[in-house]
Amino acid sequence: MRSFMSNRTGESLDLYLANLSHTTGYHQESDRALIKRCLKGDADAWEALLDRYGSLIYSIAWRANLPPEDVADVFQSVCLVLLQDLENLRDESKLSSWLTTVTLRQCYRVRRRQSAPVVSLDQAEEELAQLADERLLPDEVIERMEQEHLVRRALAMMAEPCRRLLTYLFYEKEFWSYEEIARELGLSVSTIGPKRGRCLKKLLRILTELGF
Amino acid sequence: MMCPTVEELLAFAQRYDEKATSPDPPSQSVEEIRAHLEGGCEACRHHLAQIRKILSAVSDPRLVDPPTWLLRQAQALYRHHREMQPSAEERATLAVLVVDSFAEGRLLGLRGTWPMSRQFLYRAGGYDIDLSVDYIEAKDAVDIIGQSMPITNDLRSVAHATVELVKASTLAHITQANVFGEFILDGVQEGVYDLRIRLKDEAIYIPDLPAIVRSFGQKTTREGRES
Repeated sequence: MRSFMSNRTGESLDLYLANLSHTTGYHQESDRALIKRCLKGDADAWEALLDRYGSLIYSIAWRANLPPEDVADVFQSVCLVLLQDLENLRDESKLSSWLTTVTLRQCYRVRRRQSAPVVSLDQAEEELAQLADERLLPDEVIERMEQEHLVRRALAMMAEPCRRLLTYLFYEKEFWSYEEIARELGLSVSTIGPKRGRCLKKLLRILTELGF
Repeated sequence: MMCPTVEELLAFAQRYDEKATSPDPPSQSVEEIRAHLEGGCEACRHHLAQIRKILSAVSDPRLVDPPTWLLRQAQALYRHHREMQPSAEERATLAVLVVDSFAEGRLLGLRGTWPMSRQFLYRAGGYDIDLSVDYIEAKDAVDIIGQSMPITNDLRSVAHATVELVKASTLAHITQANVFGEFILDGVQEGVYDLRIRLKDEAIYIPDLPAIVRSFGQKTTREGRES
């Protein structure tokens, strides 16, 4: 079996795909539906939201070059803010952008922890303006992460064999011949090309719906 | 020309994009695709733009998955947040775990012996809570030594705080912090507890504190032998 490292740290492609298969059920649910279930006391819906957005939240804090304990602080603090604000989220369709904003704010908060105590409102405003100018992460890096997140989410919403076919297409570092892919998926070689084309069209449709 | 297929657009984006330099001479179909796009087919240009975005997003992956222990902490927040019942007089803040010296199997023992102490750092609003769970062999129990540290460095808020250790809704241990916010809960049976620190104006709540050192080591050693 060819070994392959996906973009998920320390995890093989096979394990990544296996995990996806196990949790396929919630992938079709919208953020709105998951939030509604969370509010009704469904812990599985909360875990589904974490699975969907955990990497995005963690990655922003990680790429902001914070020490590990601050990254852990930011991650959990964002989750707490989300829990506290679930009822008040005005537009669930923008959850991804909301989480990005909250995560950046939490990153600034932990950065400010390290500076001297604030003794006046003027000082606080001055420090906040200064921190905002410093920019923890360039906008284009954040945008790339959001786009990568959407691609992963769209792939997770696809059934087999499309999901695996497209994962080989986009994440594979070595070239897979149609024969190898056919053998891997148990399909005939002649069907791979047309099937991949159909899967790609489906992916583009899902990405459009997700606002890619 | 008819619109190219999505696969043809993908091949075009991967090999023959106008920004890329390719050693291969362009084929007739590539020229036709280019002409078709320049001719203003909006649907194909939209698809090509999406394909380029996908390729850009996956070419240099930036997403990093949170470690398992951290994900578990975040999963547990849901239950803790719903269970937390602040009293009418006080505001309760749920603390988050940011350091556990036993997380992910990171064990800080010396000379291959099992460590007798486990360190935690929690954060709750404007406070850091430093905890050390030390196994005392003579008592076959642990001492929990802690300190609440305000980030403002104003110790008045943490001085003489009441510290309660609760298991299954029953008060197991209680003590009072000193003027520096330091406290000791001694002779605690290993297990998982809720810790509540009652400050002047608010309470800090640490749910599911794993006051486990020796039992953790024995369990892991047993698993290691069995495997």
